[in-house]
Amino acid sequence: MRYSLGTPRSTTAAASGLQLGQRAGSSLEFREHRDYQAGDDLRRIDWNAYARSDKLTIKLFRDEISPHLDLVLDGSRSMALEESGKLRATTGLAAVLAIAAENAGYTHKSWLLRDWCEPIANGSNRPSLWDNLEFDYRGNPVEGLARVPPKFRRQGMRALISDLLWLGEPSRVIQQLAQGASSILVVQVLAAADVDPPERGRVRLVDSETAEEREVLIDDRAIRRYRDALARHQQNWLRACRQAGAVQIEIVSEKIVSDWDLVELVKFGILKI
Amino acid sequence: MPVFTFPLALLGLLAAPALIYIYWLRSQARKRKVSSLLLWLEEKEMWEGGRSIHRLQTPLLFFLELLTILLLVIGAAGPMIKAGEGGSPLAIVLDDSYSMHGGSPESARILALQAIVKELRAYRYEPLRLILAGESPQVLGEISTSEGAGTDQAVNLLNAWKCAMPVAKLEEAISFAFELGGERTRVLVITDHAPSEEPGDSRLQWWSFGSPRSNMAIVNATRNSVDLEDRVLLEIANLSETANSTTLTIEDDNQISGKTQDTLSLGAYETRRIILTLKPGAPPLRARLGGDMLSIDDQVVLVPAEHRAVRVDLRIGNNELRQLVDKSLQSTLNANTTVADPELIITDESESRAELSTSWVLRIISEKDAASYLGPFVVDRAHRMSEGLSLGGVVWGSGKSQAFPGSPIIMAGNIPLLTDIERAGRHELRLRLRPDLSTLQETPNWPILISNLVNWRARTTPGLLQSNVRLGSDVTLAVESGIDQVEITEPQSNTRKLPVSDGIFTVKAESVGVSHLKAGENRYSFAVNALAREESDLTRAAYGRWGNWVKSADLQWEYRNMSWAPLLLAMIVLAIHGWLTSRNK
Repeated sequence: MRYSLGTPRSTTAAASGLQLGQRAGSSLEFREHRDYQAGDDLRRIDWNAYARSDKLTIKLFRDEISPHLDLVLDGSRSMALEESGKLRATTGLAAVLAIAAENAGYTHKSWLLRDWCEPIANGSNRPSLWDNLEFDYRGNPVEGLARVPPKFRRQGMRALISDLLWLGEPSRVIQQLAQGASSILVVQVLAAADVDPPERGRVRLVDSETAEEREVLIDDRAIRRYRDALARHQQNWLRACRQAGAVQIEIVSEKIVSDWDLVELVKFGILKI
Repeated sequence: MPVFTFPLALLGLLAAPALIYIYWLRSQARKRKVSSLLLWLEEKEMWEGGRSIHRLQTPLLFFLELLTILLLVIGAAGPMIKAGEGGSPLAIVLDDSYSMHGGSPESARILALQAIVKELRAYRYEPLRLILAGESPQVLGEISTSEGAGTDQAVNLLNAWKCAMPVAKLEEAISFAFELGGERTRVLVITDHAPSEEPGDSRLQWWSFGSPRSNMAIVNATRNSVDLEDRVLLEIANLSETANSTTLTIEDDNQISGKTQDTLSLGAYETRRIILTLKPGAPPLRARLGGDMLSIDDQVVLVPAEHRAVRVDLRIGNNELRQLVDKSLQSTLNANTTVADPELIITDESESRAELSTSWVLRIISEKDAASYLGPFVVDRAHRMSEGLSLGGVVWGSGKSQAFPGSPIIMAGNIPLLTDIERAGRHELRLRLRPDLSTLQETPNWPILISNLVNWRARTTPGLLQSNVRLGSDVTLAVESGIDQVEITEPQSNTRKLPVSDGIFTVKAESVGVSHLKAGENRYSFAVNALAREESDLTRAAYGRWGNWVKSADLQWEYRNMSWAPLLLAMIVLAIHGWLTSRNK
């Protein structure tokens, strides 16, 4: 089965390119008129129409997208959680997206988000050639992203693969990604153990990144609280993504690596068969 | 205090430690790596302060589960409580044999006394009967504990429990106790050995307080006057699984012949026989072993045996018959043929000249009109003359007439063969016999008949039947006519007077040592010795308790089964447990 990267249903900003997007853009192919709204590019006002109707009208063209994918992988240790399929799922999904991008005529560049967002060696080549792909960062990736802003391709598509289990405001990360991006894809890769907490009883939890330990009694109430906390956390991210026009999907690593059924990505239009 | 029908069910309490172990395992934190602690921040950390040793986590559910286990186990054990305040009847059968003294000062008797007092203080029995199990069962006393001082009364009665018998027939005593107390009664057997099998009757408990020990004992001692000298036989046994040695000291009471002491070394269960010869009339002889765990069988006293030969006058004209009688008389050891002052006259005259008033007569009558009888022979087995007779196959030639003076002792159908006429304490026996038509004289029955007659006469001759007797056996003294009571003085005991019955005084030999009798002006002494190998053998003694009254269906009515109460409570606790569990979900 051959996958190719789909055109995102939403883009964060108009950009010229080789592909025609679903949204109105700056290509020469006219699409429709609409009333001017604050914030619209003044260069697109149809002055002829204004002359006829004394009404500011915007001339919409099909959006022309420059096909490039910036693929950002979360390099923190939690992405290589022991006894989980997160590492396989993360690298596998990255490979799928990179190959699908190539199949769709995209260029791509891969990044590893650690103490700063560093390019992966040979990250523009096929995934099998990527080098120095180490998931051992113990800090907060948000700070890394803010410390040295990555030089993403303008008007390119950006995809973040992470478990998003950071302490911090999701919108900060999304805004960082959204600057100059045509579209954003956030893939949250969670281990089954992240979705379903450990078995009941006394458990000494060890943070895979900080090695911090916490001994808790896991009972039905604790499990309920955990699930509520996870749902709230995901809601925050979803809200931030919606505000930025990003698409967010959740992947359970053990499930995806068991059969590599990518129907979810297809359903969201991220991949096309 | 409740008792349990199935105390083995209490083993179920082992589930409690198992539960504790499970909770302990649960309380041990498992290490689990997570992607981030971010989502666990809301959870309270269980142990603030970093304690390294954590105590067992005991939530309410744990206590409920522990309580449930306890209640279920108690319910399964079948708790029974007494239905009312009234006491239940109890008969205590006390082993009265001297082996109960084994291991003194912590003898089985002492331990048993402590256990009995403890039992009587803990439980109320109404009435309480104490039964001594010796040669035959004997009621020591009956106590009504409702009077409040039952235990003290029992202790007073138990002081009479001497344990001086050479045998304890416990089975007889148990049967006697059940007969005496009825179906409701409990029987508690106190002894020093295990039952041959687990008590089949659940109304019976068997408590044994003995412990296996080695013992060297004198198990046999006799002194007889034979051929103008006294012969003494001593048998000393090492009742042990290992070889032992002891000292044997032999001395006479008057210190005439001095004292001899020797060391005896005997192998396991070996018996050594010692035979001594004394001059006739030598003083009482004492033999003593070195001390061990049972002292009563370490010493014997043997007084001179009184020679009691019956003076027999043979007045038989028929030579053949005379020889038959004479030969039989010689085979008995206690008959002297004499014509002077005879105590027994054996004659073939149907009517003889006037005899002495004290003489007994046996008339052997040979009738002309006679026939041989093959039987059936009817024998009065209660008569002393019939002791040991076995007339099967005997041909008895006798007169044919059915009418014959005297009470018949032996009959061939309706023909009297041997009769007895008693006149003022003396007996005249008539034996119808035609030796030419009989085989009786060729069978052992003939000397038995003569021997029975001589022994019977000897028993009625004034004097002791036996001078050295075993503990527990009867001491028989024949007294002169006119004496109706005898004064007896036993070792370490007061003098008492006892009645004479039919010229015979009989008393049970219950005290070891030399006792003295006074009958009119005559004085006699006899020695009592503890000579019972079975009782001296302490190797089979045991300690333990057998039987459980609570299982008895006959006694169930006295108790109320309370199994339902803990089981009901357990159900309630389980319901609370279930509610708490569902609420936490």
